[in-house]
Amino acid sequence: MDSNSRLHIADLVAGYGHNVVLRGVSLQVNQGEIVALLGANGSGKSTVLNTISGFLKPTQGTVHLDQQSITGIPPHKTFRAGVVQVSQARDLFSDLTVEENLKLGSIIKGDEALGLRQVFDYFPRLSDRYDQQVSTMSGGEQQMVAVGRALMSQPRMLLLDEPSGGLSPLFVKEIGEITARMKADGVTMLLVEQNLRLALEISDRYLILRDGKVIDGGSTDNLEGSHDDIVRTIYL
Amino acid sequence: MIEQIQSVLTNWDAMLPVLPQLVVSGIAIGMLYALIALSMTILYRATTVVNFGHGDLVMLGAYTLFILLPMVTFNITLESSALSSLVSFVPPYLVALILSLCVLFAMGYIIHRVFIWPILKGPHLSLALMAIAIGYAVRGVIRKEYGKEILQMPRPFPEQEFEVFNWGGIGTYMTLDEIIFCTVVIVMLLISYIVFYKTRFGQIVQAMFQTQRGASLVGINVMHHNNLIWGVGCSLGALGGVMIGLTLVLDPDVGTWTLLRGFAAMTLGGFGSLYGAVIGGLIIGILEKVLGVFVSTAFIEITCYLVIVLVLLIRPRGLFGQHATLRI
Ligand SMILES: Nc1ncnc2c1ncn2[C@@H]1O[C@H](COP(=O)(O)OP(=O)(O)OP(=O)(O)O)[C@@H](O)[C@H]1O
Ligand SMILES: [Mg+2]
Repeated sequence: MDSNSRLHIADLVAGYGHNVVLRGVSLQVNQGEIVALLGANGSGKSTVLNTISGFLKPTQGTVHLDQQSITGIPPHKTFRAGVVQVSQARDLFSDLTVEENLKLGSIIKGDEALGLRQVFDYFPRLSDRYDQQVSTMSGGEQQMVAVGRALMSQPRMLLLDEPSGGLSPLFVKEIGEITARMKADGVTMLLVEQNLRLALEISDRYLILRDGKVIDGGSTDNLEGSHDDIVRTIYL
Repeated sequence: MIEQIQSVLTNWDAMLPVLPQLVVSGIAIGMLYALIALSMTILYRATTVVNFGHGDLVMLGAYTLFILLPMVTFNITLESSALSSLVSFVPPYLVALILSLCVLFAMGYIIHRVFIWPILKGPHLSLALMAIAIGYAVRGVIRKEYGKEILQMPRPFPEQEFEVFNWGGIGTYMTLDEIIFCTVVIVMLLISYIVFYKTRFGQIVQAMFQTQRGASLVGINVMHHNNLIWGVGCSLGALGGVMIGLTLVLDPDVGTWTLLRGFAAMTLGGFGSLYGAVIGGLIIGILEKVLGVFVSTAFIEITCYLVIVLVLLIRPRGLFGQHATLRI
C-alpha cells in the first residue's frame, strides 16, 4: 500500500448469509483518481461498495482509507472517516425538499455553506429547484440530488453506484461532464458503471469484477479499439 | 355518571346544554389518548414499527410508579393541613414519576436494541409479532405479581371539581385531574413539537423516517437514534400510563384498552403524523363521550374500533398521513 493510496482493499470476502459474493477482491484507488469498477449484472459491484461503506461486514480481508483501517466498521463511521456512497437506489429522503436533502448531507459532518456552493456550482438546476419535493423530480434530477447530497460532506472517497442508471443520453452526458469537473477539483472516486463508454471516458483506470474477484484492469488511455475485448472479459 | 345523565335526558332540548360538558370531558380524556398516540407515532416514525405491545409498556409505567412510590416517600408525619400534605406528598410523587420515566426509557432503549433492531430489516409481520410478544410478556409479569387485584393508584393531589362555565343553569365541570393532565399533555406536545421540528435531532428523525439506509448514507448512527427514540416513546407512554392509572384503575388489562385508543387515534390522524396523532386522540375522546350519551353507552367502548374500521375502509391514510399503506 503506497503512500498516495486513498482506498486500499485486500482479499475482501463478503456475502449474504451462505451466499458468498466477493471471494477475495483486491483493488486500490489513488488520491485524485477515478477508477471504474465494471462487471456483469449480479457480479457483486454494489456488494463491493456496500462492504466498503460498512453495510456488509467482510468475513475476510481489509479495507484501508488513507492507510487507516476501516474494515468492518458500521456505515456511520465509514462516513465520518470520509467514505460517502451514492447508492444504486439513491436512497433519497423523497418526501423532503432538495434543500432538506442537501442539508442532511452535511448534518453529521461537513461545511454546509461550502457544500451548497459546490453543489450549485456543479448542478445549477438544483438551485432553481431548491423547494421542490424530491419525489416529484425526474430520475436525472434525483440523481443530481443524490450526488449533491454526497458532496455536501466534502468526502475523501466518493463511491458512485451506476450514476447513469436509467437516465436518458442527455443526462448521461451531463453526469460525464460533472464527474470530469469533480475530478479536476480533486475528488477521488470509485465508479460502478454499466455504460462502458461513459466509464472509460471519465475514469483513469478500470477494473473488471467477475466470479467475486477483480480479474482484469488497466489504464483507460488509448483503449479506443479494445472496447470489444473489455466487453468480452466482462460478460463471457 | 353517564348513565345518570342519560336517565335525566328525555329530549334533545334537554340534552343540548350537556354537550359542552361532554366535549370538555372528551377533550380531557382525548388528551391522554393523544399522548399515547404521540408516543406510538414517535416509535413508528423512527422504525416504521407499530408497537402493538405499547399499551402494556404504558401500563408498566404506571405500575413502576406504584412500586417505586413507597420506596421514595419521605417519613414526614402527615398532618391534616393541605399544605403539609402537599409538601410531604407531591415531591416524592414527582421523584417516583421521574424514576418511572427513566425506567421506561431504559426499557424502550433495551427492547429496541435487543429485540427490534436485529429483525428490523426483516418482514413487518415479524416486527408486529415481536412487539405483541413483548407486550404479552410484560403483561404476564404484571399479572403474576398483581394478578387478581385491581389496584387504586395513589393520588398526588386531592380530588376536586371546578365549574368552568355555565349554560342555562347547567354547569360544565372539570376535575383537578383533568386540568392538570391537560396541562401536562399540552406541555409535552409543545416539547415534542420543538424537538421534532426545530432541532437537529428532529431532522435526523425525519431523515430516518424517510429511509433508514439513506440516513446511514449521510452518516447518521441509525441504531443509536432508534434506541433513543424507543426510550423516549416508552417514557412518554409511561407518563400517559400514570395519568390513565389515576383516571381508571391499575389493571394489567388496561394495556389493551390503551393500545386500542392509541392505535385508533394514530389511524384516524394518519400513521406517522405527529399532529395527526394528537388530533385523532382528541376526536376519539370527544366522539366516545358524545356518542356514548347521545346514542348509546356502548359507543364508549366501540368508538375506537369503529374509527379504525371506517378509516381503513374510507381513507386509509387518515387525516394527515402521507403514506396510503400501513406497514405493520
Ligand atoms: N440483500 C441481499 N441479500 C441477498 N443476496 C443479495 C443481496 N444483494 C445482492 N445479493 C446477491 O449478491 C449478488 C451480487 O449482487 P450485487 O447487487 O452486488 O451485483 P451488481 O454487480 O451490483 O449487479 P447490478 O449490475 O445488477 O447492480 C447477486 O447474486 C445478488 O443476488
Ligand atoms: Mg449493483
